[in-house]
Amino acid sequence: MIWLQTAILIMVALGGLAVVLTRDPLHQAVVASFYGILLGLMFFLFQAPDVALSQIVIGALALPLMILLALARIRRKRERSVP
Amino acid sequence: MLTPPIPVALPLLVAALLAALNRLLPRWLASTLAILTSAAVGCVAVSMLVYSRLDPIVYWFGGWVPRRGAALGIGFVIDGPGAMLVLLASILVTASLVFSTRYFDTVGTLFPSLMLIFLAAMSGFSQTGDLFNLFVFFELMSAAAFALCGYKSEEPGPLQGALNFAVTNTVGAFLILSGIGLIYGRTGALNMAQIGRALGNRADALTLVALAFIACGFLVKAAIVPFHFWLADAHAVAPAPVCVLFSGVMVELGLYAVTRVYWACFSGILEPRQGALRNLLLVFGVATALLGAVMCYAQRHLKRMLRTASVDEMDLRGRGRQIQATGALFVLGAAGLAGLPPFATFWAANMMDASARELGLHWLPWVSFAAATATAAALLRFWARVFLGWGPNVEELPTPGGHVRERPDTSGGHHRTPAAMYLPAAGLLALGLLAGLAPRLTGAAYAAAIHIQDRGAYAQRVLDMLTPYPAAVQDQPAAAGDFARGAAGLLLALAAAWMTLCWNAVRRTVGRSPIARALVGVLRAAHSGIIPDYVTWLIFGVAAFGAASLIWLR
Amino acid sequence: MRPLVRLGLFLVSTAVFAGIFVAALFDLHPLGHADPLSATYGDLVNSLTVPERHITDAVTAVNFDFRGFDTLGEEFIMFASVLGAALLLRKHADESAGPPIDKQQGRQITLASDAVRLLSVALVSPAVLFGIYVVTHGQVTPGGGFQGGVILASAPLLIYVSGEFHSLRRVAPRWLVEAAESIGAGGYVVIGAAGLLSANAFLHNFLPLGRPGDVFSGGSVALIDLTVGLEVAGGFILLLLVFLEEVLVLRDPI
Repeated sequence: MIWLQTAILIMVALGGLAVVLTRDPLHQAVVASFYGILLGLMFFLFQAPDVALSQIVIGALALPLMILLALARIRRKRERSVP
Repeated sequence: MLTPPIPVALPLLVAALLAALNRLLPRWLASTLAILTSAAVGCVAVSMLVYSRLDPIVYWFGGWVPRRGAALGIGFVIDGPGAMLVLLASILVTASLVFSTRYFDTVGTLFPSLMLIFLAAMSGFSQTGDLFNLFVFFELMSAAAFALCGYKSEEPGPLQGALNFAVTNTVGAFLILSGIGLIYGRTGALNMAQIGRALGNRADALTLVALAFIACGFLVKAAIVPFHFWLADAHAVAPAPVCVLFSGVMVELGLYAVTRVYWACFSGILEPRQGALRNLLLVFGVATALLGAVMCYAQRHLKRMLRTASVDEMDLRGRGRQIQATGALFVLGAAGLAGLPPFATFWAANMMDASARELGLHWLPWVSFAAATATAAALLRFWARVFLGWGPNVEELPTPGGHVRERPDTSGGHHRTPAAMYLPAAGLLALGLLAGLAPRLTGAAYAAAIHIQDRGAYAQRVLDMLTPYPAAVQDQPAAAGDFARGAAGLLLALAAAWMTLCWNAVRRTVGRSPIARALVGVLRAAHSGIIPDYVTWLIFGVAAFGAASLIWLR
Repeated sequence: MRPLVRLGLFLVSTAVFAGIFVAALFDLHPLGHADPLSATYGDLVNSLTVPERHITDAVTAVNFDFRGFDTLGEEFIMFASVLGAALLLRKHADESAGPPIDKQQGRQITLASDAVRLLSVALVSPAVLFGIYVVTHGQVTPGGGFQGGVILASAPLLIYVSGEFHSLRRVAPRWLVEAAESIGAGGYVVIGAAGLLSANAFLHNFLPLGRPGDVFSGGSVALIDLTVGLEVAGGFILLLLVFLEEVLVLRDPI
């Protein structure tokens, strides 16, 4: 168990780094979604299934969705201002 | 014993109701309901204040009283300062809501709902005796404040200001949460009295770092240097009724939280090092006072100056002659800020100076006097320029950003200020005056201060349900010298305002001196409005505080 | 500040910050153990949830019973955030609302591919069912109001993915979602107040407790699960609606 926990902690650290270092917002939304699932798995491995349930839906679903919607809004505005 | 949940539950319920019936209720009805709710909270706060003068009210939610000295549920511990803060919050929210009925001649949907949530959060924050509950209400306060700050979202400015506010305060919240996590890992408790007992009597790395994180997180909310950058931005862009709340009570709550958490939880282990901690906090506090005074004096934009309303004084030069009543109120407000007796600020400054002298810090009263006078001078200069038309048309010290024409918030066409707008201001000033005239004010304040510092008695009252608090404390009368100092403050402020406005020789030397320009230039460059700058200063402040605690407080 | 100066200051400060954080972490006891001097909260709660409240999921018991007041605050944080988002993204005086446009200008409207539509429609019912299951079984198994509410909120999202914006609007009209969210939020306060009237403490557990392991155990915790589920689902759907309206419906002045 301790090895699984150590492994997932290392993956979470690397995943966080990956999210920050991904510069393009569109790509970052996908990486953030994957990171959300990774966090959910980490909570599960640390014996907190309630938190894992919330994290999976919000971190992997709702957050990337909002990033995408915000990007769509900005893109639409940019298209309007360019004749 | 029904009253303690009411300041939190009632505004939340009415807020949910107003949000549900958002499209059905006419605006005047929504505003009236909100005003009635906050007034009701004020009445409850008064009754709690009276009831808790000698013995704090302790209320356990869900009926979970402590067992064998361990707190199972969440408790509210309402003593003098807590009840007073609830009262202050409710008064300011009521005043803001009255003001906003005419301020927002344009769209004002959902505004009363958010204001009530803000009030509920501030009430809960002041009343709670549980560390994590404190954090939850901190977050609720922040969530409502972010939305209220960016309310005028048609313009890009408010959104940027709200974003700066949101990012810095969220970093602060993360710090608080980390600190709470560390404390819970050590003590297994979240109730402040229980933590105070469980921390033992030696301060080690964990407790010191936890204190640093929690204190710095709350100091972000309290806008202490170097965590303060967000406040000027948020004030410049938020609507005026919201600004009143920000600097009137929200930042004070940050300081209250540091005080409460320190005395209830950490004062036991830091007993031998109290002087060092005091010096550390003094560094931050004095830096804030001086920086604030200098920036305030160099500002021409009133909202950024007061951290309040939105007008460039050059544009309004002379036009204020027509709104006499507002002008009179303005002068009274400036006088109150300068600490003129009998405003309550005079007594507060007096007591602080007395205790500073007791601790041997004789330079501190001069610093606070200078800061208060400079602030009042800046305000009086604004007043003279706008309401009396003094001063020339050209300014010596350049301001950054050029001229920004802001859209006025009211739809114009009013010949005189509407009653709903100047009555709240007059009411608040009257309250400030009356509070200063209240009998036994200083005695009650001293008693409250002594009680907050008594960690053992607090824990006994909360966890063991004993009543160990001693009787009330004597009043502290003011000597003639203190009155003279208060009056002198106002006169000095007037003189400074007049000098920098009308006396051309002084104006030119101050305006063109390279030192003044360099200083103001550096300060203004620091307040750049860029989030990475703000967060960098934040981390720097936390690192400095933490390192200092680990070195000197062990 | 110049970027290089800022980067330098930031790196130095972060290094010190990390150093003091690690120094503090070394003073903690290993995971799962607590300082033996202080009674551990976890043990205390575990010994009390089943005998006193007939709840088998201790996390839900702490969330909605022992520390239910915190959860009320958290729920209203979500309420205030959604309200704030709706406020900031509202239709301004100079904007107009037109029919929803799903694609960029000048392109033909294309529907989603058949595979996406089939899969999303097929997943809607399981999502709703699973969401209701998680909400109602909060006091028995891991889950509860928050988790179930978010799962429920994913159902309208699947409907949007499978169809057009107007199908989402038909299934979840804005007034209904706002009403649901407010009823959920206000409902929690009302349950707390009802506890006040029955036993003189806000959020007291006043309903009959039932048998441990039943769906309707835990007294008012079961009811709070439902209201929180309603509020969270309503909140997330409202957020989705507000964002989609901002993107698809509102037009800037040209």
